[in-house]
Amino acid sequence: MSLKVMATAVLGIALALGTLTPALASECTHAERTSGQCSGVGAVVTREGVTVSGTQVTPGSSAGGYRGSWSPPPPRDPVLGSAQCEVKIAGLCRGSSPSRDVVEREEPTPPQSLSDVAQFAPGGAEFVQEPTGWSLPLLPTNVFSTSTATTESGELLGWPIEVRFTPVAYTWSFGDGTTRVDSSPGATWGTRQFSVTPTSHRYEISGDYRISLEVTYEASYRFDGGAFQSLPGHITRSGGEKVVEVLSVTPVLVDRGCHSETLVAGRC
Amino acid sequence: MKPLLLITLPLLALVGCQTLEQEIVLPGVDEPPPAVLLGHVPGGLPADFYEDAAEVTGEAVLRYVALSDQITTEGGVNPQSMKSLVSPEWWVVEQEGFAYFVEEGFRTQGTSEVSRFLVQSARLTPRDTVEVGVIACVDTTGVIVFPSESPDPPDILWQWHPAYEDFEGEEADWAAIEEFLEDPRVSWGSPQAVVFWFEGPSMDSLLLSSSEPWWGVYSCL
Repeated sequence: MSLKVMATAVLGIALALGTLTPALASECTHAERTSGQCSGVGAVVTREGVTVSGTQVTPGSSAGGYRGSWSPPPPRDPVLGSAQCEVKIAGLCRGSSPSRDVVEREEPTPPQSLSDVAQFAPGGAEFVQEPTGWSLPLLPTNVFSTSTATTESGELLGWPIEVRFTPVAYTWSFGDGTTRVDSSPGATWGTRQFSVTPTSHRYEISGDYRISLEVTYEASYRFDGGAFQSLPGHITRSGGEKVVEVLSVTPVLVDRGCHSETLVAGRC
Repeated sequence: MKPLLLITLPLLALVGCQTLEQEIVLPGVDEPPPAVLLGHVPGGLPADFYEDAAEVTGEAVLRYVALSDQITTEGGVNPQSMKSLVSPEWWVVEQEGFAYFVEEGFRTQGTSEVSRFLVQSARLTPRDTVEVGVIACVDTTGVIVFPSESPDPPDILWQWHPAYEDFEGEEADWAAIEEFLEDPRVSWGSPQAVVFWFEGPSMDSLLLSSSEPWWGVYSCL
């Protein structure tokens, strides 16, 4: 085959990808580029023609581009780091935009247990005792919790996350050796003072008693505004402490009946 | 007379009126806010920052490519002159590139052409360095790679090679070209879009820190 014929064949670009195909590489030096060691671009001239991989411009030709069965990697974003650009001018990253060393983020790793969201905590829990600060022996002393479900926002492994804490149990310690667990937070007396409520308690004798509450929460989480997913286990936080003074009572003998509405300062 | 339970109410000093305040410490509030460096906002960049970046890196790319061509002309055996143009990390990579020529026994003739510079990114980094990425079309079509022990390419090759489509040579010319191209190790390159990254303490002291093919929107033709 004459060289001229071969040149014609070269014009057609023999595109067989043979063993001489350079290895693909990402970063490469100019020397590697020159020697065809970079990113699958290069040409090897043989008797059979030119083996091309990647972009090849036939010498002397103004044409170019991708030819043959080899396909280049799909183009990246139109602008490098465009998805990360904070400041773009004329379509290019400018200023503080992190245009390189960009780490492709994978899907967030869901937390598996409460320990994974240990940096989050339920909002403050408190309780109310009625009557405030004091009570009477043998009459109901009312307590109720004001804790509600709270949602904390933050980041987990670089992803924005919301963690919701929902109170599910209330453990009361009334200071007289009595402890009770309720699923209800309780409620105020309203206008019916000293009435029995699901969370009320009767003290037998006068004295100062320290009432304490622990609230048990269930936790759930969500990423990016999705549905909340429950986490196994529970978390318990203090709901506060209060001292109640159970007053002493004094029996008084009177000469006639005395309605409570006429009782003033211990006298009818 | 009936006993009546009288209740002695103390002056309702209301010892329980005070509520137990619980300090709520939200996660992370003790952490200082992220530092904002003036130089990282566009308004904080020096005047003519991008223009300087384009000029400086354009010249640096030309210098780098020309020097690389010169080193490979000698078979890659003496790459030391490249050291001052690149970062220490990239210098290691550069040496590997030249070592390929030594190991395979290659050398080159011809020069690369670099054109169509486009500053892709220019910024001040959190490391207080200047970083510039510039895209360029690097055409190694005119660089012939061949075995070091082979004689230089015949002069006629340079007439045929850049425009062989229309080359009308004598029979002797074709014979010379064919003889040189008989060696399957002879090759030449092609135009390729490349992004060069430079970094340094100032715009006047940028070093090449990496380069890689550019597959984004940019025409090398």
